[in-house]
Amino acid sequence: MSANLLEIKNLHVHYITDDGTAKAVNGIDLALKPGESLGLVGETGAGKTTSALSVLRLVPNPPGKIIEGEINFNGENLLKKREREMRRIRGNKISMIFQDPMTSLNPVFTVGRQIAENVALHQNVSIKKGIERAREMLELVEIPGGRVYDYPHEFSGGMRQRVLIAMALACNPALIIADEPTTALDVTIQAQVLEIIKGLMEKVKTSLIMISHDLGVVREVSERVAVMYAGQIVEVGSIRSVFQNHKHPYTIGLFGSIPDIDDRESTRLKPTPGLMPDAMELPEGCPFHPRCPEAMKKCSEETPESVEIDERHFVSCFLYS
Amino acid sequence: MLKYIAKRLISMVPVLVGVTFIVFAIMHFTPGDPATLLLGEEAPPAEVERMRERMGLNDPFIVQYGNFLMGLFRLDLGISLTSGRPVYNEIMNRLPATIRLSAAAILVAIFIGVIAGIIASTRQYTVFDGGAMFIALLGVSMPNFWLGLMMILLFSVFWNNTFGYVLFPSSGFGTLRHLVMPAIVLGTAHAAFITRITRSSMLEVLRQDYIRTARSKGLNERVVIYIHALRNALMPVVTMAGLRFGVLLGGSVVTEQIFAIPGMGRLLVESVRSQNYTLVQGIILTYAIIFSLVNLAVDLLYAAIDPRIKVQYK
Repeated sequence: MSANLLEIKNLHVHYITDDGTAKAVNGIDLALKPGESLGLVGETGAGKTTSALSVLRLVPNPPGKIIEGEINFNGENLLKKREREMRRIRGNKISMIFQDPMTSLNPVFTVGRQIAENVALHQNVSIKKGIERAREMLELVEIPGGRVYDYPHEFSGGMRQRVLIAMALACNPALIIADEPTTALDVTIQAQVLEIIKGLMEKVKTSLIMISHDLGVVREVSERVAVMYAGQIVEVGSIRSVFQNHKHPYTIGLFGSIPDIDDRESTRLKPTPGLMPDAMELPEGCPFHPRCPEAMKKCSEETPESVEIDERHFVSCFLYS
Repeated sequence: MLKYIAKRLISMVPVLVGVTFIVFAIMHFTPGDPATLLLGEEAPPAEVERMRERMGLNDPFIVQYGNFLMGLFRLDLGISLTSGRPVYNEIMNRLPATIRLSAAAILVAIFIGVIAGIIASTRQYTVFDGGAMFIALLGVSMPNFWLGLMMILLFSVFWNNTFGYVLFPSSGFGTLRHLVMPAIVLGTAHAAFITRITRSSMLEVLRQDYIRTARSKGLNERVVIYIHALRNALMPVVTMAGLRFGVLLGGSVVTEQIFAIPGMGRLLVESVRSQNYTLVQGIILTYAIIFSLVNLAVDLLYAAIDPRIKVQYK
């Protein structure tokens, strides 16, 4: 078994406010091998973005705080690093693509400059050299290199997202975290952007964490998938294993809510009843038990351990332990 | 861009004509007779009547206004009723001092205000935030005359007694050293406005997604704040600075009095008090021109700051 590029161990992140403590991430474990691509799925508020921001140590503080856990990147614990060392990792070794391309680029600087800034900072070259690199990067995401001197408002939403992708890739990072990169785009543009991400992943051989609430998106680009619910990972495994053989009642519910065009019999979706619990008042035991069709007495008392049910396919549910 | 500037300058003309009309009308219908004013209360009525005829005061209102407008084209604003000198010369004697003082004061205000605003916004709800806001409040609440007198006491009187020379002269105008104290006195009063607006604008910008993007690139906090955030936050700051600059150009009677500066503020107050209507008209017209120009400068600064606005200037 080769060494992991990224290992998250028992990560807890809380948002501490005057009104109470929101437990956004509650003990997640994740491992990612070099070059591997992982999809992180879950509903809004499941803690996906918080987990991702934790890796870069960019959880807004206050109110956010990483309570405990380890985030090992190349064998070094990022949570123990100094801010200065972290800055050398951000945008260089690990970079992030954010959700909303309309607001994630600074409106008063040219896109070339925004990409070049990144390159100049980490590779210790002049801004001019950085602009050259920016030109290459834009070409890579199928934007004419001549547009480096254009401002963000001169690009469409899909193009801006590609600019952000180019920016994230500019320093050849070992890991890219894409936080719902297609959610803010319309469907045709989504497909385009996904195509580009997929193509680039094959070309540049970096690892990818793709955050999405859309299982379809994750299937497009990922080899493995982790399902998050209320700050915990309830099921994780290879795309094939999870898609064909989902075990956790929440995952089953999630797949039940995908419309199937070929299935003409069922005209209605099968949504999971209820809502995800408020992170301020998580239930005792397994956080899913109030909505779980299979809930047992034990579920409201203890938190289930993660069990390997297939090769590298883990489920946290008492049904399988 | 040049076309835009030309368009704006041309559009100033109707504004200024409107201003002259309103000012002229107000002054015309204000009670009091300029001829009597010029000759004194004791002058014989026949003399006054001759004077009224000579000054064109017996013509219909519209003719008088027409004559005034015609005069403007020759930079002839009439004769000051109290000194007998041309109004144009009176204003030109005072304007440079006021412009220099206002420019110095607004620079002081921007310097203090922007820095205090950034400190307050980046450390929201901490001692620094509270401290910066307290100082801002202090600056705006402190009477100009008091701060002015205290500074004179310290830098002119006390300094002279202790070190044998005057650090900043307490009166007069001309050198940079003359400018320091009045600029600080006026600047601190206006810095508070700029501090507040910088703080709120920065707080707004620091929440934006692109700031998170900038941080995720590994930029250090100083670059994030002073380059990525500040430039976006400057728009309201520039607006406020422009307005404050306009207020400053209106002249500060008290500060000019304390430091014996030959500025517009005193000129305007004196001319209003003595019903010197030609001078009042001239001064207000000057302000209208300056205000329009400052507004244009602020709009051009917008374009320099934000490329999205530049596109709209055609």
